[in-house]
Amino acid sequence: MRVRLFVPCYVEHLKPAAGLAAARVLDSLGLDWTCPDGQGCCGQPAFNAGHPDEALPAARRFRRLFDAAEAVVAPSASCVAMVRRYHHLGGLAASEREALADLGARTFELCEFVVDRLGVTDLGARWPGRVAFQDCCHALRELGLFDAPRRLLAAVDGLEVVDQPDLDCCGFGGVYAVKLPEVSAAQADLRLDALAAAGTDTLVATDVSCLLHLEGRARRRGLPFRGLHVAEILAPDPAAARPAPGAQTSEATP
Amino acid sequence: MRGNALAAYRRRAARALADATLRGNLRRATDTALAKRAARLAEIPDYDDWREKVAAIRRAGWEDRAALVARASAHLAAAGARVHHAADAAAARRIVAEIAADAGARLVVKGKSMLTEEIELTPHLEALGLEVLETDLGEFIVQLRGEMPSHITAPALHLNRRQVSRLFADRLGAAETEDPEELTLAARRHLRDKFLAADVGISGGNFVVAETGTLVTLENEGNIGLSTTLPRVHVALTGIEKCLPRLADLDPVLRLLPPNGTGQQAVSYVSLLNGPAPPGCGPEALHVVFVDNGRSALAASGQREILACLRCGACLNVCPVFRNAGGHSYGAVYPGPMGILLAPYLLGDATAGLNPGNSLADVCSLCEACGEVCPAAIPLPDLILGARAEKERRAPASRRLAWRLFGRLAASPRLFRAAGAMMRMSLRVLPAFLLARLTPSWSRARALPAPPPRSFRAELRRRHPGRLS
Amino acid sequence: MNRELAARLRERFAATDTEWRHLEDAAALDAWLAEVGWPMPDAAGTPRSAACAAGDAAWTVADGLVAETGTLLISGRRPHARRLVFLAETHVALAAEETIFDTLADFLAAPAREASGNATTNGGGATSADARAAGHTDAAAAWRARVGHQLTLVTGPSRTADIEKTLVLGAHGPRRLLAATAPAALLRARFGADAIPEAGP
Repeated sequence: MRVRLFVPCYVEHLKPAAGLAAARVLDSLGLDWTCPDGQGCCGQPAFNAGHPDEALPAARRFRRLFDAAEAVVAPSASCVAMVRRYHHLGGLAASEREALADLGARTFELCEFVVDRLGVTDLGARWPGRVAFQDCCHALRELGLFDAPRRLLAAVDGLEVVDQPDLDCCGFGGVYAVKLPEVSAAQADLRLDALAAAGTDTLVATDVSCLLHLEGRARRRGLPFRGLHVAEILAPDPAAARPAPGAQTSEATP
Repeated sequence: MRGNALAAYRRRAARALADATLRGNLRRATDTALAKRAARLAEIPDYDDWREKVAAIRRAGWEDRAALVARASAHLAAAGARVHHAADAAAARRIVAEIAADAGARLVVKGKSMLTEEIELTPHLEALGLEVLETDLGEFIVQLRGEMPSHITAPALHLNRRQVSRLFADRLGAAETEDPEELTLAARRHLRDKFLAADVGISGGNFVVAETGTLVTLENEGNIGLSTTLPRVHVALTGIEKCLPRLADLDPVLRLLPPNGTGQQAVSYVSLLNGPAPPGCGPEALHVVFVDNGRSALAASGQREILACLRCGACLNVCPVFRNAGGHSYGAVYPGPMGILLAPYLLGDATAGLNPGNSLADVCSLCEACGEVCPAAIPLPDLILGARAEKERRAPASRRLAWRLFGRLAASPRLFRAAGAMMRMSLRVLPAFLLARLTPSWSRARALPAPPPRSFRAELRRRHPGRLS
Repeated sequence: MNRELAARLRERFAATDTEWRHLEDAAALDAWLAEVGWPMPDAAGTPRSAACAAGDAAWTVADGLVAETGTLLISGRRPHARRLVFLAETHVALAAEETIFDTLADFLAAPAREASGNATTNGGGATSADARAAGHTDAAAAWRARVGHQLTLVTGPSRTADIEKTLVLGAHGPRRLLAATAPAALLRARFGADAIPEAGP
């Protein structure tokens, strides 16, 4: 299967560790995958900010880069949700619309790809320790992603997951985080309260955008916080020395 | 509030967020509402099927509104009711004022009606010298406080018992008490005489059955019943989108509205009025006012599907923004997700000063929980995005240009790479205070991310160059 | 009453704070009527009033009952009954066992079957005979012929949760709802033939 890795912009520039972990997951499945050069942003910020037309160039670029793939995989539910909306954008020719709809159906969030598309639930991973798992809104409600990440985490050797479903949105919301920063921060605080109640400082989620927002809020408040993308649990970097639980990670640790 | 709507929202929200009492009240109330809703939904097998039925019924309500209102009006008129049609809030207020004047009215009692809040009826009648009393307990409370309701089904949701006790002690001379039962009794006693003395009773109309010309009101307290059986005149106001095509449509609607609205299987009283009461058995006159007030304009817009709204309030209870900053932050009688969509069209003339170009469409973190809970299956998240696009079409050219440039950047690999590199370098090199100055909206409440030494692409090139293509 | 229905009604009425009893025979009915203080008319031998109020209580005969929700149906057949639903501290309602419907949909769909030969006018509109004569071609006319000027669905007493979402009974309307069901024949004997509808599922 020709698998292409689609790298969310904030993974590309701010959290490459999540992308590398996703790469390791694809490796562990023995897949023939590549990462096309020339990727950009999926265009979601423009779409969500009320400028859907400005996501058109990104949609067309995405199609050029990925149309040849049999499956496109991204460590981000919200980006995949955007890709699946491309065919609804205004200004597309009918043929473009069809191609983008088809491509969207072949584009998957990582956990979705592994569990629902490949039928794999155990990646043979080992990660001793306790983490909390919280849903990201686009994962839950745009992709219907609930079981897949949980099943994958359940199979990780030594891992204790404190599952925290039914929480309110973390408050990132894309441009919302900077348009309504006060309410956004209040929402983040509630998620951090939940994390504290889980008895761990490590939060695992499917979207790095939410984790960056929560990490920023935690650091401002002086709270211990380590945000890990699901892939970083499923395919830990063999070369890294894992910090002791409770310590704060900086980005320098791959 | 004729300035920038978002700025005004942020000011009010900041105050609300600093109010620990309010936040506690909000959380407890909305958590309770959601828990009760969940319990009731668990008791409804085939909930999704019922939801589909309700969605279809409510869609017909606004799509076919002209025919349905005409049919309902004809039946009501044939039964002896006086039917009026008001194009806007001013017309509606005039009609009600005339009815009250013709009746020689001095005292008016009101059931809870969001539409009457929308058209700002009470201040208008009071300015004409009438005494107007809200009789729904929550509305009565906020009327005493001089506030607007903070939630469309639970008007006093933002208050706790101590605050109500102090209010009643102050304004009713009641003894202070923490007991909600005693507080309710104090309101009951105070209002009972008013029901008996009132000249005119005003109600809303949750729905009107077009097939039979039947006005439908839902309540738990009995205040609408008293307001519409004791005074000489009953005036009912309803929106033109509120018709149910057939009598049988009541069943699905009454099956889903109470669980989503108040967490009940059924409300205490559903009144189905086919026309005026026979002599001596109720009010001498029944007036029904069908109000447009922006609904036709909304029906012509991209957000028309919000006209299916049942006014249950479930979307408010589940909205994280509402749950944190409350209803008053919106500065409009329709708050929360439904309010974002209704207010620009229905409250355009009201003091809220909202319109499609100056709306609260940004007051949403796009979590999509609202769309999940809506019993009429209104695609609220998509409509909010549409309202946002609507607003941005009227944004200053500079902002539209900025997003045009972003769009280009997002699709240009070179620009994208350069922008990313610049961002990483800035995060690494610039002093913290300068970074904070450059990103005030992020940095006021959050630390900026620590920059990675290399981009993902650079890392991949180092470790797995064969995977690059 | 069959046990399954009785169990359902018991559960629904308890859940909605309605004090309900089923009255199997004349003795039970009379005892209940005395217990709830249903006023006796002045003249001996005349039926009790199907809708009246005195002091802190109001008594109404209901025209139907929806089992699914424990809802009593008070129609415009007795045109002054609607006011009585809201007025007093205690509302007492009585329904014929034969007028129990499973769901509201069943009630709404049921054809109107007025008591045969009953030409009594209730102030609400057409007499039943007139309505039959008109052929019920018009849904609106049929509905009005059936329920008069109004139908009020009553589920439990008055309540509010406007203060801290705490449930309080007796907000403006009645604090207590006392309900009973009894065979129609017994009710006709006590309230008169025309007071008790024959309409049923």
